[in-house]
Amino acid sequence: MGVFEVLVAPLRYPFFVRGLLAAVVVGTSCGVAGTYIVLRGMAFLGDALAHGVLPGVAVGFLIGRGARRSVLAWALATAVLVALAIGEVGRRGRLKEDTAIGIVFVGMFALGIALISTVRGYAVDLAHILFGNVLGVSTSDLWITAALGGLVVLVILAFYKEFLVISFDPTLAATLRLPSGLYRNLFLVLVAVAVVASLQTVGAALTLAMLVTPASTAYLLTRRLSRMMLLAAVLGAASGVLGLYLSYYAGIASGAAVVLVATFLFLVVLCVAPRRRDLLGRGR
Amino acid sequence: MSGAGATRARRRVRLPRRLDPEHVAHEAGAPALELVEVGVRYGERSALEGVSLRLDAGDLLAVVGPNGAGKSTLLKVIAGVLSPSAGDVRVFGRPPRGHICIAYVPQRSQVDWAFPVSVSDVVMMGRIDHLGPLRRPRVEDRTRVATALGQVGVAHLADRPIAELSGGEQQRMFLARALAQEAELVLLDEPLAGLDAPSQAGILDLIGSLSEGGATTLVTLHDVGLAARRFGKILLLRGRPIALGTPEITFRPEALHAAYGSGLHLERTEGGLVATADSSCPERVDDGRV
Repeated sequence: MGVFEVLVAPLRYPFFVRGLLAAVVVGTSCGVAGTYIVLRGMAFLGDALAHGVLPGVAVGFLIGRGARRSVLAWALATAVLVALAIGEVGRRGRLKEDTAIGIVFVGMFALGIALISTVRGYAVDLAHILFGNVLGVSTSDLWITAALGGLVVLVILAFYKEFLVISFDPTLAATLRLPSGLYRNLFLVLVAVAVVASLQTVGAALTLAMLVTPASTAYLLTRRLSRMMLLAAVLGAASGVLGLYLSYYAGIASGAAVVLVATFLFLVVLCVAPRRRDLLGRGR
Repeated sequence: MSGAGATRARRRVRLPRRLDPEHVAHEAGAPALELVEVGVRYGERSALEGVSLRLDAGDLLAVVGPNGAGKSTLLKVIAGVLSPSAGDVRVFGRPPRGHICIAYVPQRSQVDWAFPVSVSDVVMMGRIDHLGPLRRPRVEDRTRVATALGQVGVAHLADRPIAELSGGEQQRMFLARALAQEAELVLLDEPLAGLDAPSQAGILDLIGSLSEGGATTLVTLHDVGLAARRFGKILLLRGRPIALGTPEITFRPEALHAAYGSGLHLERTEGGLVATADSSCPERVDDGRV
C-alpha cells in the first residue's frame, strides 16, 4: 500500500472526513488561544475550565436526552460561568489563585460525574465526554464546532494588541487605562469556548493538551508572538490530522491519538531545537 | 484611617472601566504634577505618607532612598496604577487616571524578557491608546516608532527579539516607548540598576534630553552619589519625604542620616559629590517589588 493509498483510504468514510475537519478546527483554535495560556502560565486554569464543564455536559445530556446540541449549549454556558467564577474568586478571595482554581475545578468535576452516574449505562457516555468521540461528529456538530472555533480565533486576532499589552506589561495596560479585568474575562470566556469546541474531538480530560502542547512547541521554535500563534495553530491542526490517521490505522482512541501526536511533536522539537530558540527567528 | 479606607481604595482600582478610554484634557495653567500630602497604605502598613510635590513641565527629579523607602510606590501612585489612601495627585490639573500622556517604565527585573516580542513590538505598545481598540497601526504610528527608536539609538535593533538585548538596550527600548507614546510625564523606576557605567551615562544623557524636550521626568535611584552628580533636583525618601531640593540641600549629613541611618556620607571631591560608606555594603542593587 503506497503513501497515497494510506492517506486516501480512510477518506472514503464521511465520518472520517468530518472528524478530520473537526480536528483541524479544534487544533487551530486551541493553538491560538493556547499561545496566551502558555505565555501567561495559565495552564492550570485551562485544565480547570476543561474539567469544570462536566456538570454542564451532564445537565445538557439529561435534559436533551443525549441530543448533541443541548449538550454543547449547556457545556458552553457552564464553561463561561466557571471562567468568570474563577476570575472572581481569584480577584476577591484571600486564597492563592491556584488554590481557588483547584477548589472550583474538582468540585465541578465531581458534580458532573455525580450527575452522569444517575444515568444507566453511564460509563460509555462518560468515556465519550472525557475522551472525545471525534468519529461520531455529525454535519451539524461540525458546523457548531467551526463556528465556535472561528469565533475564538477572530476575537483573539481582533484584540491582538490589547491582549499583547495586558500579557506583557500589565502596568502599562493600567496606565493606559485599558480595562484589563474586562479583557481578562473575555479571554477566559474564549478559552471556555475553545474547550467546548474541542469536547467532542479530544474530550474534557485531554483538552488541556490541545491548549498547551502545540503552543509550547511553537514557543520553542520562535521568538515572535505572531509566528508563535501561527505555528501553534498549524501544529494543533497537524496533530489533529495525524492523530486521526494514527487512530484509524493503529485502532486506538482518537482523542488519545491526537494528544500523543502533539506530545511527540513537542518532544522532537524539545530535543532538536537549539537552546537559543531562534530556529525560525533568524529573519532580522 | 486604617483597613477600611485602604480596602475602599483597592476596590476603586478594580472597577470595570470603559472599553474606549478618552484622553483627559489638560487644565490650562496647572502644574505638570502636583502631590498634596499623598499617602499609601497596604493594609495596616504605611508605605508612603505626607508626600507633597510640585513639578512644572520639563522638570527633572530624582527620587532617592533606601530599599522599601516607597520610591516605586510613589511612581505607581503618580501613574494612577495605585490609588492613594490619603492626599491628592494631580497631573496637569486632573487625577492621573485617564491621561495617556503618562509613561511608566518598569524596573527591568519585573519584565518577562523571554516574552516572544520584538523591540518595535514593545515600542508600538506605546501607541495603543492613540489607536483605540480594533485598529491596526497606521503609517503614522510606524513612523513614530521608527523615529523613537532612532532617537534613543537602537534603530538597528527594531526587529530583534527582546530576549537578545543587553541591559542598556532594554532601557533604551523603554525610553523609545515613552517617546512613541508622546508622553509628557515620564516615570522611570530604577533605570540605572544593574547597568555598567558607560550604559548608565548613555541612559542619563537620554533622560536629560527627554526633559529638555519638555517631558516632566521622575527617576528613582538608589545610588546617592550618582543622583548628586547628575541631578539638580532630588527628593530624598524613606516612607516620608526627608528632604527636597538641590543635592547640597537634600544630602546634608542629617538628612542622609535620617534616610539611611549612620554610615553614609557625601564628600566633595575633584570629580564632584561622591557618596562613601563606613560599612562595605550600605545599599543593595535591587529595590525589589513593591
